[in-house]
Amino acid sequence: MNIVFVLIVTISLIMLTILNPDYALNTMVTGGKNGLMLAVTLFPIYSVWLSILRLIDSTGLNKKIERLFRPIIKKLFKNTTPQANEQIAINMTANFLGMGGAGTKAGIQAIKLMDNGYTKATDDMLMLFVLNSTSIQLLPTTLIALRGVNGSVSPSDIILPSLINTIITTTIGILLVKIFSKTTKKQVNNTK
Amino acid sequence: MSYIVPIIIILIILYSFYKKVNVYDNFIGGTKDSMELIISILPYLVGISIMIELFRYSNLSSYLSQFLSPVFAKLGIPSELTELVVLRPFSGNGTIKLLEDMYKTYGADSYVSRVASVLIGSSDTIFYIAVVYFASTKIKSLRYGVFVAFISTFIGTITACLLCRYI
Repeated sequence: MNIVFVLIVTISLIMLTILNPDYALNTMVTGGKNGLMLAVTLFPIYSVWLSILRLIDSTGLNKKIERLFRPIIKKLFKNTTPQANEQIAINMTANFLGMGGAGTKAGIQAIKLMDNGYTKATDDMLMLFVLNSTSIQLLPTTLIALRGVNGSVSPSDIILPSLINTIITTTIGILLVKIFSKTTKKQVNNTK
Repeated sequence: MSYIVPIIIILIILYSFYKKVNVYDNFIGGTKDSMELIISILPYLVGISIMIELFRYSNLSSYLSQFLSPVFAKLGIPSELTELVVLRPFSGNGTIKLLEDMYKTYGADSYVSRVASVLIGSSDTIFYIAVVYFASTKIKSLRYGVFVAFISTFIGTITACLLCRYI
C-alpha cells in the first residue's frame, strides 16, 4: 500500500506543481473532505445493516446461514473457525443480494477472527479478499436504478451479462488464489 | 426484483419479534457498532481519498488512460472505457460519476455504457477493500492478493466487452 500511495501522491503532486501550483494543497484538502463525507454517507448505511446483523446474530439466524454455506466454505477455505465461517457466510449472502454495508462489516469481522497476529495475510484471508474484489452479485440494484434514471429502455437488461461476468471473474479469482497458495507454500517449504 | 431487500428486512424484524429478541435495543446497538466502525476506518478513508483526489485532479488518471488506451484497444476494450477501468479499483464514487457521464454522453443503452455497467457490476474497489478489511489487523503484506484481484478484474473487463456484444 505504501508504495502505491507514495507513487501516486508524488507523481500527482509534481504534475500539479508544474501545471497549477495553487491547487496542489487545495486538492489534498478536498480529498480529505471527500473521505470525511464518504464516512458521513457510510454511517447511516452501516447503522441500518449492523442493526440487521445484530438481529441475525441474536435470533440464531447466523448459524442457519453458516450451515447453508458450509459446503462451499469448506471447499474454498482451508482452516477457519466456525465463528469466522458464520461471518464469511453473512459476507457472501450480503454481497450476493447487494447489501453492501452488511457485507463489509461481516468481512472485517471475518478477517479479525482469522487474524493470527502476523504481518502477512494468510491464504484464507486472501481468498475472502479476492471474493469481495470480484464481487459476487446477483442483483446490481444501484446500477439498474441508475440506468432507469438515465433513460434506458430496459434497465434490467444488464442482469444476465453482469451475472455471467461476475461468475467468470470470481472463478478466475478462486483458481488463482488456489494456484498461488500452492506455489507460495512450496517456496516457504524450500527455504526452510 | 427491488422487493427482495425490503422483504428480507421485514422478515428478519418479524422473526426477531417472534423469537422475543428486542428489536429496538438491537437497532441502538447496531448504530453504536456503526459509530465504532466508522471511527476506526475514518483515517483510512481520508488517506485514500486524498490519494484519489490527487490522482484525478492532477490529470494523472487521464494521462495514464491515454497511455493505456492503445494497449486496451488491442484487447478489445473501447477507448471510452479506459479511464473507468483505471479508476475502478480506487474509487466507487468516482466510477459512478464517470458512469453517469457516459450514460449522458453515449446513452444508457449504448454498447460502451452497457459494458461499463456490467464491468462495475462485476468488480469492486480493490484498494478500498484492501485497506478497510485489514484496518484492524497488523497485516502489512497482502502477498499475491492485490495482484490476483487486479488480474481477475482485468480479465473480467475483456469478457464484459465480449459478452455485451452478444447479449
